[in-house]
Amino acid sequence: MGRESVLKSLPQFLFLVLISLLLIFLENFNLLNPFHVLADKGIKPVKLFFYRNQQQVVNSLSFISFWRSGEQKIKNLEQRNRELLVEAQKAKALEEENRTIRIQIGAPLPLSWQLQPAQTLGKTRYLTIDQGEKEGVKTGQVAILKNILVGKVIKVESHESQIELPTDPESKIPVQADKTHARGLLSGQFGRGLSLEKVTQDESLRTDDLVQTTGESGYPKDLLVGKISWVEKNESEVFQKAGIEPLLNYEELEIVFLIRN
Amino acid sequence: MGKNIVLLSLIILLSFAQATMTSANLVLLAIVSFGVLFSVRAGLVWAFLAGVVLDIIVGKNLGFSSLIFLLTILLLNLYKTKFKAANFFYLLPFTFLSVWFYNLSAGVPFVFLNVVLTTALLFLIWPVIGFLGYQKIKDNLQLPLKL
Repeated sequence: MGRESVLKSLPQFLFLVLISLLLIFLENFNLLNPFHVLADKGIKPVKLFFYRNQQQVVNSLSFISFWRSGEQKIKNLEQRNRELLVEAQKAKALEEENRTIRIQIGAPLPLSWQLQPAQTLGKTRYLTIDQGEKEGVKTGQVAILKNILVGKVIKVESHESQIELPTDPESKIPVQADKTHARGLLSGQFGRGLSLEKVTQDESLRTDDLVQTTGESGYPKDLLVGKISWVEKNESEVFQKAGIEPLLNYEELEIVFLIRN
Repeated sequence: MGKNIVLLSLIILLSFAQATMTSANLVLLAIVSFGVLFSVRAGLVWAFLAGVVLDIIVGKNLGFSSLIFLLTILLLNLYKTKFKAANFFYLLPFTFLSVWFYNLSAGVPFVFLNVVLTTALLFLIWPVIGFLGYQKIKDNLQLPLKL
């Protein structure tokens, strides 16, 4: 009986498969682009509504994890705040000094990047942003927030793009430690943070040291990515490994900047 | 007609959730539920429609999800004759394989835990679809859910 009804429905199945294949064919030749542009106009605000509400719900529920460790966290933040005030004062002095030196030796100004702001529309495996081909976005463009790497554009639609985050398992970013200059490859762990791999045993890794891009694989140099949270050094192995804590909470991003040039 | 509108709204809602909140393939889970609860013809039409809706909302190539969903429904109904499709011991492995196959076709790397968690969401989707499509289940004399 069941197999019979499947056989009876076979023409219908083949018809629908044919329509699907036709749609794929039309899509491959960009013949459905006008339709997508039209659909995007209606879909984008709804996506934005969904994503912002989800972010709000997640934020409002964050107290559940906060209430237990909250007191300690506040103490740590107060301590960190005091340290940052001292560092900010130092940085101000250094900036002034740097400016004076630069004027004196006539050094060129640092490369000024042209940045294109983009709103986030959702985060599943990739981060979706509201800028696409029509806005001049190209595959391979790097997204940042301040001087922190957000990711790389891997797919561009007409008015949307997808950004591969450093936490993606297929993301491999050449990085180096800020203080020790140990070099390695930063890999995503599919929702379980980041790990620094391929670091030879003769190099030194320290916890709390920042890691930044080396300027290879299409990523600009010196973009911060994360902080070393633990180091695993086993002499019997060729490489040592480290866990990296991202500097950004990718779930909370509302705006990112794409480097245009 | 009314039930169809409710089910279509559910598909749209799941597609938006899939586009913005989670990497779990919620629409595929709904389609597997449709495949068990509805007749072959109804299952195929829903598979096609849901695929088109998902592709439009997520921004995938139109036709891709429909194709996978149609294959899923066809296979599900072919083996319905050998197994009691509403039995979770049949449905869970089938859903696991469907999720894995969809991910493979979409180029998503295989992460066992991810596929298992997505499959487990069937326990949430199933009752909703079952409730919304209750009249249809009765019409098609499908088996109730069994463990």
